[in-house]
Amino acid sequence: MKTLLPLFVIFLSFITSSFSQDTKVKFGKVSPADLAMKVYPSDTEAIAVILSKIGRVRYDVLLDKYALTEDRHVVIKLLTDAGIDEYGDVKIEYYSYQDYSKVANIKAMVHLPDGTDIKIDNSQIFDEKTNDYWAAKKIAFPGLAKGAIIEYQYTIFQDHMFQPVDWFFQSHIPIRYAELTTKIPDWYEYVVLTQGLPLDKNARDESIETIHYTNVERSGGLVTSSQINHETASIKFITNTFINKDVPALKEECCITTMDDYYSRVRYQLQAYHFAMQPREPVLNSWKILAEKLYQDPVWGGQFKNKRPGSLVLEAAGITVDTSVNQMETAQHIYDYINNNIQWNDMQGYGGMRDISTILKTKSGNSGDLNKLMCAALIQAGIDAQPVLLSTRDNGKPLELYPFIDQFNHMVVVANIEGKDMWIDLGDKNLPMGLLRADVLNSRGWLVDEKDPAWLDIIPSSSSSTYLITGTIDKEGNLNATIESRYTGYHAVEQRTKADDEKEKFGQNILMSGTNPVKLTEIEMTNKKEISKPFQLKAKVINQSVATVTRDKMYLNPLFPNGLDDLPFKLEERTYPIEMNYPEEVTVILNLTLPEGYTMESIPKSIKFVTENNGILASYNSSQTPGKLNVTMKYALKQLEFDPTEYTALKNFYNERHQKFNEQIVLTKS
Amino acid sequence: MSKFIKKNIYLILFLWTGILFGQDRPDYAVSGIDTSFLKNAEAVIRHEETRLIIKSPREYIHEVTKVVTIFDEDSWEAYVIVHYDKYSSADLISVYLYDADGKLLRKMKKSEIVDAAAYSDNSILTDERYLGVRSFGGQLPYTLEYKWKTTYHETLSYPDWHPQHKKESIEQATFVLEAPKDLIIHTRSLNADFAYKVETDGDRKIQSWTLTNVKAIPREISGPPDYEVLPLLMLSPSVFQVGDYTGSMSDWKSFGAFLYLINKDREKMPPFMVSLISQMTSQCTTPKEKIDTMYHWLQHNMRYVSVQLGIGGWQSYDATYVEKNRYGDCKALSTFMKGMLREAGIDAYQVVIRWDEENSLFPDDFMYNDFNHMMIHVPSENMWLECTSNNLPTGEIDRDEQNKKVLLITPEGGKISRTPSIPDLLNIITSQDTIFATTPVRISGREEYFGNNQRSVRSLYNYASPEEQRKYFLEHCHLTIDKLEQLHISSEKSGTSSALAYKATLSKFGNVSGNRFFIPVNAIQPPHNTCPGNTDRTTDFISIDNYTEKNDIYIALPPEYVIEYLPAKSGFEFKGNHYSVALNLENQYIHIHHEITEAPMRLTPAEYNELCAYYTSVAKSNSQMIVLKKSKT
Repeated sequence: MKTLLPLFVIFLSFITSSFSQDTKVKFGKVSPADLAMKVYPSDTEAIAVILSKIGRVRYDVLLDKYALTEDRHVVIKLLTDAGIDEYGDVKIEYYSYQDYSKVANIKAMVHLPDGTDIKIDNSQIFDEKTNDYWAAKKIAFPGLAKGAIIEYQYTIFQDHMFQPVDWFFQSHIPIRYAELTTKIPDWYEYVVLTQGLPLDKNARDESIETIHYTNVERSGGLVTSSQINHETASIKFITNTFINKDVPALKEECCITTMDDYYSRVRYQLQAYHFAMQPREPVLNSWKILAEKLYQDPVWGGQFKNKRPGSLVLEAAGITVDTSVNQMETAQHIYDYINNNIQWNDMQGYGGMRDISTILKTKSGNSGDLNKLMCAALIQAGIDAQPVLLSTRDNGKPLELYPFIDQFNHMVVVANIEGKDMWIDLGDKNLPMGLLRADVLNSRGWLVDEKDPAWLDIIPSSSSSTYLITGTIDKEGNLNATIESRYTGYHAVEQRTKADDEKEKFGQNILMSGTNPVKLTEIEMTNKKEISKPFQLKAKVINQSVATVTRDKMYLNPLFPNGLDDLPFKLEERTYPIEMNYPEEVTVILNLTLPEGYTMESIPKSIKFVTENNGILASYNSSQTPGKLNVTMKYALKQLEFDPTEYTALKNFYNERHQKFNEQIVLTKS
Repeated sequence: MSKFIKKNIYLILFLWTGILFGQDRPDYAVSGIDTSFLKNAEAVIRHEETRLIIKSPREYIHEVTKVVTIFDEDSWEAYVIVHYDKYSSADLISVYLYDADGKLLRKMKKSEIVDAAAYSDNSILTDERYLGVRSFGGQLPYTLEYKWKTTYHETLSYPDWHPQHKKESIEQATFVLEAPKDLIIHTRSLNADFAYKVETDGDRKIQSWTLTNVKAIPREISGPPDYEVLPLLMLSPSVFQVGDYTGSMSDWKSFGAFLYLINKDREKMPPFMVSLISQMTSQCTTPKEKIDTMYHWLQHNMRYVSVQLGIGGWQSYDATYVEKNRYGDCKALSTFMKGMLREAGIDAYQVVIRWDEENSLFPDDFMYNDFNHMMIHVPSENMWLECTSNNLPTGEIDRDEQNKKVLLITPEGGKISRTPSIPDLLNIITSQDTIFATTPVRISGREEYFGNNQRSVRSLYNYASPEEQRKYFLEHCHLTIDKLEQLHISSEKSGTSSALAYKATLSKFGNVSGNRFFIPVNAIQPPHNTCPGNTDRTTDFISIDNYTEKNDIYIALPPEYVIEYLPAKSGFEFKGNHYSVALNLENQYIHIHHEITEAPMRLTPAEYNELCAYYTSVAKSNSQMIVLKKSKT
């Protein structure tokens, strides 16, 4: 804004320009038909429907603070008691840190089916300072009854021009009409990102407007004198209009990144600004320029380019750089130091806020902060390491077309250690060096190389579990056995975390005999703390009933680790793609000695089944020698993404696996 | 004597001011802790001094200074949290972090302290907040030393002192109560021998309770409640002043009288309601019908929104407010219901209760404001009404409100009473399923829930759309449903039962293996309980589960199969718990009849092992298979 006029001019007063708000939708007016509505015709099961959601974003060229405002007007019909419960209370959240934005001019009203209107006065609007960063306005709508319409309107004021708009045209209840208009001077150039269902209207208009303003010039000195000038300026405005009508509800299903990746949505990203009499200043140039800028930022790139920050980490970790020591050991040493001494504060970030010396002092940091320490220390230790920016799964997919920084909420490190590329991600005490956290496995990451940035595929490393169960079944159908299991990758992270969380209960639900858990005793853990090694368990099963015994037969129940017969997909249909986290493999080997006097009558057939393209595989192999039984069960997930059209096939695969792994073995008394 | 104590206090103060300069404290070194204190301990309290400085019946200061060594991040002590609200202000004065050797690592900055709303739900509008610090970044074990202070401007209760949690040892902890000499403060200590001292200093009376060298108690699943095993100092005012009111807690009667006074006449019905009530009850012939009509009206027209009003949160909004807004918190809705009843000529009392999963500590002879909820009692019908639920049938209260000691707020003052509970015999779940094991497998079934078991089905009935009901059913069903053809959920208005009926095709049922077909005895529901946790318990095991389940499953014998094995009838009993299963062939149907009773129980560690043996027998019986074999062709 300051660039509109020369700097020595100070605004004292101004005449507001003449762009008044469009008056198409009036607050306080609802149609008799909407009041009378009992069910929403397009979705007769809807508990509520958003009749309209209208946003008008405007930029006031004469304002210095909060030049950007959005007037939002929402009208919701509450159709059932559940609708009242879920939508009768409204919470408007905003980022209040350092007055970054504020919400004001709230008007709210209830329209009852009998025609009564209830106005909500300000005393009924509750202010909540949620924490240091966020605040909210809360409205509990009074007088609600089934069929009521609630209506509210407010203005959100902000200064943030980089991503001024992130607007949803879809929700988990239907929306009848959604409209967003933005009117912003052409000083700001935006990329408009749309996703989800196509919009009914997406139009762009230009207009020239004349702005009248007054400025006062002051000369300094002992006696100040001022001169008042009335001036005008012509400004070109860009108006965008987006409309979507009859938008169906979108309900959440399992195994996706985030619903925000699927809703119909419009986002703006600043591309360049171009103020009067100044050259166009690109903001969103190219990934290359973004990388250069990041490296110019002393809190970010400065931490990698300068020696001091990385050395501070090495000093704190007590490492003296010695090139004769192997690099892997040095890296591991730094990793262990950070993992054990700097705490993750459960917040996400790309490490752009605090420098290394501050992070070291407070001994805690967000996800990016921790990896910043790692990266800087590796560089100072002479190891080839670079930062990679990521968007976590629940933050949504990265947008590779648009080089802007705010889409990232995490930073990790990629290092080349002794000729081997390695991902490094700190924050989870049970995550070994070389693995990314499972919740950041989100397609691709951006390698921030100062000269040559690039997108890297995130190929999740495979995880495995193997179980070896060796034991004897007695004549009563009881099992005495030892179980040895070994976990790698994310399976190891999971089991270690379970052991931490479940404490003395750990081991109760590892092995199943059909639908009954088998109790493990004398559990020994190996490498519980040595997280870079596979996690191993050894335990005993004592006198557990695993069979149905009759006069002349014994039917052995299936025996497998808990979860191996899981049916992840229970709903009848699927709307979105299925996105699994990481590939995995589970192997179970049973070596059982049969009770004396029994022979094998029937044993499940060996079989292998796969989905199309061999994306998922399961197999069952059985063999027998006199008095002994050997079974090997395998499950491997290789493909991670599936189209909704593959849903039925997937569901069938897991049903088949469930069937096969649950088959019985029959013994006969000889 | 008094000089000696003063000197000691001075010493302590001196010691503690030293800390402000941020020195290393070798005396905090973990090596200084007696090893017997480390057993079962997630944290060791090295030193605590909590001071409650009562200035007047209205105002007091709560000050805590604590040094605690943390061995496990899951410990309760690994978070420093200070609560406050609109009646109080809080200051988290300092937090220091020391390593295992007592070396000062750092001081927490003000900017690291979070100041946040305690609840952020859409429908909870309160001023309750907290200051907190976490993420200390210390390598375990580490020691925290902190000091905080809250100042209360208005209160009708004092904070209790809980010096110890489970899995915590104490080296030394003191509670100091400082109050005007002539102001009586009731105190009671439990579960520990506190060293008690008292002295007067001018017009102030200073009492202190000290604990030294207390070893950690393990945390066991379903163990006894804290108030039975952990040291506790309860405090309660004799007189208090809030707003323009003065109240007394000398006995339950006078505390009840105070609550009656601050809520007196707030139930007066606005004119609109007066005519509406006479209209809606005009057809009713008995008081019971009137209550039923009005309670249903309340359920369908008012909703729960937590908005707090003054008087320590114990004064209710009046009936006019509720009528206008059609919402209120438990007090406002109870007051409103009381007003409706009075309008119809029926007397009712407000009731204060602790709504909690456990039974709370409610001593008869120690006045103690530990309530968190309000409801209504109608003495003439001996009926209890929970006014925040749009779900419960008239006269039924939530499972966690049943059989609780409560205080009735009568015009004559407070009276202790007890809420009723649904007799064990009525808490039943029954189910019947018929399965045709052809291709595809077809099933039709009906589950009926009685008594306290209706909670989730009733809320599905009242709140969920048909689509949500289907989704819930599919995700919670243990069968592999291919297509859910019908789902019907219903709930009796009288409250006796709720039911769920369905028809579906299954992608599989039982297991085919070779030429045999196996059907687990627990074909539809997996068994409910296993033996949780270790069998080497040291404390009692308590279970409050209380229901009986009866399942009948009819499986149409597939034509190509004959029965090879039908498990024999079996049954087990243990202290009111019961399990039995019987299988019979009835007209080409295999009929499985299951009965399971879970009884509330309190068991000694030895008895707990017997329970585990019982569960093992049940699991064994439940893992039996029905075996069908293809008939030779």
